[in-house]
Amino acid sequence: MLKYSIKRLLLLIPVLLGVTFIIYAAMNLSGTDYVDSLITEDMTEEQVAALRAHYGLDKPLIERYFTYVGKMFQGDLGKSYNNGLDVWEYFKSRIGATLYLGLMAGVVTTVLAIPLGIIAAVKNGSLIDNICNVLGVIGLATPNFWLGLLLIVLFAVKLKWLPVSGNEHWYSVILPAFTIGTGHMAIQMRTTRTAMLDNLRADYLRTARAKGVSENKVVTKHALRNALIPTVQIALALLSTAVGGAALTESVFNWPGVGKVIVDAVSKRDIPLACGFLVLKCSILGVFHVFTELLNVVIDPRLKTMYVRDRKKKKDENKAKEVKAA
Amino acid sequence: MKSEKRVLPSRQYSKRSRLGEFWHRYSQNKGAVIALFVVLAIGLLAALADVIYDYDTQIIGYDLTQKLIKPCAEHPFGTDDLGRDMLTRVLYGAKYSFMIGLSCAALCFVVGMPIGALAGYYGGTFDLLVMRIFDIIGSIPSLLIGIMVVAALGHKTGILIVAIAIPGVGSIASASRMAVMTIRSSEYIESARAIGMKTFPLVMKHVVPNALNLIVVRVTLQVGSAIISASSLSYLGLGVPLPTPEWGALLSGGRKLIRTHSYLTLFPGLAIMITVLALNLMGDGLRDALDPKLKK
Amino acid sequence: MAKRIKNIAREVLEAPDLSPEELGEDVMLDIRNLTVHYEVDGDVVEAVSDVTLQVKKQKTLGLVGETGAGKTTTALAALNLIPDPPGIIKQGSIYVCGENILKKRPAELEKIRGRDISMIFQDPMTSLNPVFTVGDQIAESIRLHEGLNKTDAYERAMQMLEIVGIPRTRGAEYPHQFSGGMKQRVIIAIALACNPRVLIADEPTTALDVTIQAQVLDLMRDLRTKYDTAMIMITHDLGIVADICDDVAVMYAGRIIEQGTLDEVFNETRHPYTEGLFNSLPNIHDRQARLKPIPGLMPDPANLPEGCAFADRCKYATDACRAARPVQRWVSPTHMVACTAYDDPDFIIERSRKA
Repeated sequence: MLKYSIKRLLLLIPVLLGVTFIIYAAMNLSGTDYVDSLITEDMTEEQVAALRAHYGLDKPLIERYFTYVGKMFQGDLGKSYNNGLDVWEYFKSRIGATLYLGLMAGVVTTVLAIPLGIIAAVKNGSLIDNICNVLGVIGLATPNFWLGLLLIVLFAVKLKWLPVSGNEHWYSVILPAFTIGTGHMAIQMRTTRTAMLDNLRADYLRTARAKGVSENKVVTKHALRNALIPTVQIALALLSTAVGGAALTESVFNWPGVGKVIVDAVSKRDIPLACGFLVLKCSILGVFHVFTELLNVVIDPRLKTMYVRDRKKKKDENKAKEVKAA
Repeated sequence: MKSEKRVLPSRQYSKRSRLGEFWHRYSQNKGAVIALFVVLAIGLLAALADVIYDYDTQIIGYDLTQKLIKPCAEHPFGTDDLGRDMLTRVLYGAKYSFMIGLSCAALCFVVGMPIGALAGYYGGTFDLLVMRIFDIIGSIPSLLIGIMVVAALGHKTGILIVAIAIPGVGSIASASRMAVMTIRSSEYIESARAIGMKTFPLVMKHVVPNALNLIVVRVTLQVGSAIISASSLSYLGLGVPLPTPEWGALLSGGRKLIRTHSYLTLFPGLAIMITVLALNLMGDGLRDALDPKLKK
Repeated sequence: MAKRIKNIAREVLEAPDLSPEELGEDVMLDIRNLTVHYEVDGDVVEAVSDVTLQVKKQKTLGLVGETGAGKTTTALAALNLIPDPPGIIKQGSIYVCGENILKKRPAELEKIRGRDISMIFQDPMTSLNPVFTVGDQIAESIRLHEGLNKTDAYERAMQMLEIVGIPRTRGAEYPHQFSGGMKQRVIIAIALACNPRVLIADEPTTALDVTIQAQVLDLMRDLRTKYDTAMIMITHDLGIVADICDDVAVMYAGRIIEQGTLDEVFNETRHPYTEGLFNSLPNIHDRQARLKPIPGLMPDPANLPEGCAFADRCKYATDACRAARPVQRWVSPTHMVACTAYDDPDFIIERSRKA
């Protein structure tokens, strides 16, 4: 298992290099660069060229990319053009808020959506089920940032219960977390409900009932344990979007996380900042992704044996090779 | 139970054409029928927007004497900070959202489906390579892809469409890959092959229609999610630039005045929600009508 | 959740209980006048109608019939496990070890299921929970009914595994690591874990290949003598019936159309449908003879004919057969046949004529 995890993490390196290249290329592809925004009327050609050289923008893209990656492996992500801050230090000061918000959103989603999905499935066709279905359909159609705006209007502007933006108080996180959380709820609820419904119809529940297992246990132990597999998969996927894709919500609530910085850096063509943040964020998501896969193996015994079988097969193959060689 | 549950009598359908049959099943779902009419109405509005309204005077022409009027009889949605009627702007905005949504979905379909289908049908290295690339793209949040593409290629509607379509291409491709793979390995293909059908007619007769059903539904849903993505980017100021009354851009304008004039953020969002809701319900209806097996 | 009972019609719940004398000695399972409907979208399917069966201690009843004849529904009713919706028990009584199972509250039912009566399910591929080890799945019912702690229950489960011929080391594995035949044995082990007094085996061998079939049948025979179990063997394989059963009931379109001892049904066959079943078996003594399958299909169960449901496929059918449902006729104290043709005292089917 440990070996497998390490292998998966190592496989991440080429993926991240690919991502880095895409990001770096995309950031450098546009006709204009950061220096263009600094040029003033009275500057001479030489001055502009010197400025370009100062930022390293005079070299070809590929060369710059390799220099960048080389430095990246030494832990140097460069400095922001705009505010001169060290990108890594800046990221460290910002990532906390993003992770915190993503995690809280995940809590909101999980705590609300999974029980509702289960109840909706168990009471299939009931009023609760219908309400959940309608909410789910509406939830999927609602743009998340607009929901955030509505929440601001209601709870911050009209009722004045919660702050409009920022992260100064412990309760500042409530509105943004609910914005992301309720947005994801629809998806989570639907998956949970479907998974549960599928399993409530399964033949093995009849076996359990025939054993004399109580109806409560049939649902909470036998059906739920199976329904949990797709449910947890989706929950983790959503958590990763909550962490990774919160730029919009961060922007709506002026949340001091990395998402907002990326958006600003991109529009200002602050390449080291945008690149560094995107690469770091994608790395976090990549690690998280591997972690998710491993967790899936833990909760689904079928995946586990598949992995063990693969390893066995390889061992056998190697043995066969050895025999052949001999 | 399974084997012993008795077969219910098959409903006797009169001999309808395939389209008639499809419509018969689709019309069973009242919500989907309403959704279809809503989508048609919005589509019509989008198509005729420039006929109904004059862009220069009614959409971007401003009148500061009329600024920030709260919703009233004359201006049901109120007016914005430049005195423009919000109702007019929201209705006109349908043009952008609809066009972007449709072209995005079309792009996803045209690019994603063949790639996915080929990968699914042939498998092997090609499949591996394609899926690896989509994996890499998939590991970047779709909003960030949008931001990057727009930042790299500039602020144009065409580029916005490409930016939004990229993650969708991946999802359509993997959907069609899955569909083709499932169908390819299913027993009726085996039996068709067993009675000596050649590959090409086999693919045309069995694989394509069956995979198409699944994919058409996905594409319908793609229109809705493209509309949301487009408005998200516009909200961040990276989509259709102001003063164009794209719904996301309208919301972005309303955000500044949210403390005093919250109605400005209400109606454009509502427009997005209703459109996407109708598209999704239509997609669900399509799914049930095209493939009754999937109906729960 | 405590609503399992709502799919039972009021008449069933209000009917007076039978006295022990009426039930008779040694009768472990007594089903009387059982009628089960499935109601789907306004269609009523009479899956089982007016079925009466008795199984005594140590005896095995073979329940024979085509797919869709109502065998599994009858069996599920005996555990009060008719799927709800759409199943409704309309009429009848079911006594397991002298207790009317249709009137039990859920908590009481849980004690009876698995301990007094248990069932071997038909489809081994889907009847085991994929996320629990087979050992845990067997131990679960032992823990529920015998009050053993986790380790003791698991130890007992391992013994059960060995009884069905699976090494105990495999108890910690998951169902997907087992072959179909092994899974079927695990299901048998689950059903037998608490030595039930009544065991219903729903086609326990159809999913198995022939060599394993024989082993499973031997196993069940052993268990019957060892634990005095009363058994119902649901099958459409007459060979298995001849091999293991004492009594036979033949079902067709939800009804029992012939019932008797093994000898009576096999050698003094009365019903044309039963005859048809025998005729569709290959005869080892006459290899030249062509098989004579029963023509046609079982009628649509949502839309059964007024008269005998078999009339359209029956070569002896007369207008009288189509006019009214045949009455049950007892030709010996143990042999029943439901066929209108026997209104004519001289009627005799071909199979009996030859013999």
